[in-house]
Amino acid sequence: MVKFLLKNISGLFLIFILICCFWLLLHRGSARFYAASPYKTAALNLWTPIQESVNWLISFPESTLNAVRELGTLRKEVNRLQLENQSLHTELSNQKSVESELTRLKEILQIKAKLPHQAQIARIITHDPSTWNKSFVIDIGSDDGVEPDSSVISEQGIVGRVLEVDPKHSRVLLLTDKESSISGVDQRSRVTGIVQGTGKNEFRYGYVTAGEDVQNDDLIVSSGLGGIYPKGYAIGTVVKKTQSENGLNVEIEMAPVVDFGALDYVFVLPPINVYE
Amino acid sequence: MRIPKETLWLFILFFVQQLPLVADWGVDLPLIFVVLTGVRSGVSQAAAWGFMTGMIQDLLSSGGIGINTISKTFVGLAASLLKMHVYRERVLTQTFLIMGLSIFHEIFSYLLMRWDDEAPRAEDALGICVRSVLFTTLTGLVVCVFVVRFRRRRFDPATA
Repeated sequence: MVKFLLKNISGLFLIFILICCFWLLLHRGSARFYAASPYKTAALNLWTPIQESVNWLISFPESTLNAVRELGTLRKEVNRLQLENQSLHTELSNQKSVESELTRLKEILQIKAKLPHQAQIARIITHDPSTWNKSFVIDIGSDDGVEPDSSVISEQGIVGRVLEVDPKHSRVLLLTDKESSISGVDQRSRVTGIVQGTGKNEFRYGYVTAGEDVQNDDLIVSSGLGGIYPKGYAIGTVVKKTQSENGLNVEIEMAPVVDFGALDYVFVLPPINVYE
Repeated sequence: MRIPKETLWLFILFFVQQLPLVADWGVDLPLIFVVLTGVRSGVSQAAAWGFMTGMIQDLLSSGGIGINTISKTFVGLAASLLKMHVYRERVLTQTFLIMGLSIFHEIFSYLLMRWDDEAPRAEDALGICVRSVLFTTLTGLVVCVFVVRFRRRRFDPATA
């Protein structure tokens, strides 16, 4: 039997092939032989890596040669692109800074339009060089109609008042300065008191008797009394309340609503007697 | 020509001193300048630098004229007198000198303000003093590192 098989192996192989062809002929309409059939997928998975490896082997010398050839050109191109990138970055950064300045100015103009009084926009030039005083200089002065005791505000609330004026500049005393004080009122409970600067970045809400309804996080706004600051602008929020030593008053610490360190533009209102 | 060079420094430091960040931190750059000039000058010259620096600071500030002028004059004097007892070209020596004279300056200024009845409450004053001394000392340390390095290199006989 084995001898017979060995003798006629080629014939048997031919028969096997013919059977396969016949089998295929019978099943050619089956979905298993179309794309995405499991056989095709298996074949693809087997073949593709082989094909890729062969392709790589064939193309490697050529691509290496090309890469070496192109290296010099590429280096030049990279240098050129780097320079272009740098210049574009600079341009973009300038553009962004102009854009942000424009947005800021638009915001300022919108706020100015909303203000009930005729306000002037001023830019802050310098801050006080002394550690004990809190003030800054703005770029408008008596030539622009600024007068001493004009109140200065920002979009967040009251900043301070004009202390001294020259034709082109004015010095603004901040509310946080130890010499500053303003009459305030608790927006929730209407308890009045005097907001005093401490020389640090905080206020003290004084002259409030013990038992008055002032709570943490209460917003204190200007009461309009005193003849300098207009009514209803935010000053700060209550952060801490302690009983005074004599037990008659309460000591109230406040945090300013205005971020004095981040101010760049402010609004100068005319003195209160002009519009009241 | 020492004077023009130091006047230029004075101009630069007042420009920097009036930036919002420096003003917010309470760094006293003029004091650092007066101390560092004081340890390199004679007594009268140091006092003159202190007086001038303090006067400019007072003129640019919203407070009354005199507090910084008087205080910084004494700081200049003290720095100049102390140079006989300390080795001046060392970062640590200069930093401690800045810290000590900064404490002196703040206390002296506070007492002058109390005299004028312009002083803030003691607890507020303490907060301002501590903040100012701390940040002035730290800034002084950085400045001294540069000053000492630069001067050592300049006067190093090995490289001269």
